[in-house]
Amino acid sequence: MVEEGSKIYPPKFFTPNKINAYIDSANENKDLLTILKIIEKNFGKFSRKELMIALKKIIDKRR
Amino acid sequence: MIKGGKSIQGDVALIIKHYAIKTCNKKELIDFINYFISNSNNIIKETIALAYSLLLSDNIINTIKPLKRLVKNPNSSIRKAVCNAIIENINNIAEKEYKDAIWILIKSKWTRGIKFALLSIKNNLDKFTEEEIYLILKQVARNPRITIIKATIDLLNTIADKIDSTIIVEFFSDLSNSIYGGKEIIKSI
Repeated sequence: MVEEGSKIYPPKFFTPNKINAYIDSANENKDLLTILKIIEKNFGKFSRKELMIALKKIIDKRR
Repeated sequence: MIKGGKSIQGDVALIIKHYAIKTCNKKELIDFINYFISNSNNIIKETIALAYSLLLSDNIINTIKPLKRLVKNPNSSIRKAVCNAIIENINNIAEKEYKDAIWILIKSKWTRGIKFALLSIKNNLDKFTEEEIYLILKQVARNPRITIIKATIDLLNTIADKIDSTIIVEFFSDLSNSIYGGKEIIKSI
């Protein structure tokens, strides 16, 4: 379990689609930083396009 | 949208850097960066410039080819990020691309970038031919800001003996054309 900020993220669901859903539901800056850490640990599951979409979403969310 | 707290762009830049190191070899690294530059919006482009600065500072990469594409962007914050990447890592850039780096700074139209380029030229005069200095002065004269003019005059002071005097005259006539009311000032002198 990854538990930081206001959300809890269960590790078995760390697929690109699920991470995009996590980004949408993030409420705090800390949540986004946690999601970034999760992305870093799961680079293997991302294609370039998926990674770019996820990072773009994170930046847009925090703007 | 989340408000408050520190900007997340730096953290995203770090992630891009880690991804670049982990998943790509050096040949693919440039492709990866180019892929991000050509497929993304302005905020991602700015983040890429930040990530590129990190790659340059860690000596993972020493070419500045992708930055040439970014500096053409009309968005000034991207050009500033590109200039900062070059200014902070000018020593880590390959020697054969040094002149390209100087041209990127001059074409960025950012005062701090142009000033740094002019200072760098002053310290590395032996690397530039007379013709290149002529072209650089032509470009610089298009940005008539006091900081830039001061830096240029400082450069001209040191190279006045080494270059043809017509180049200096041409620089000042270009400058007078680009300053508002410059022609009248020259006539009154």
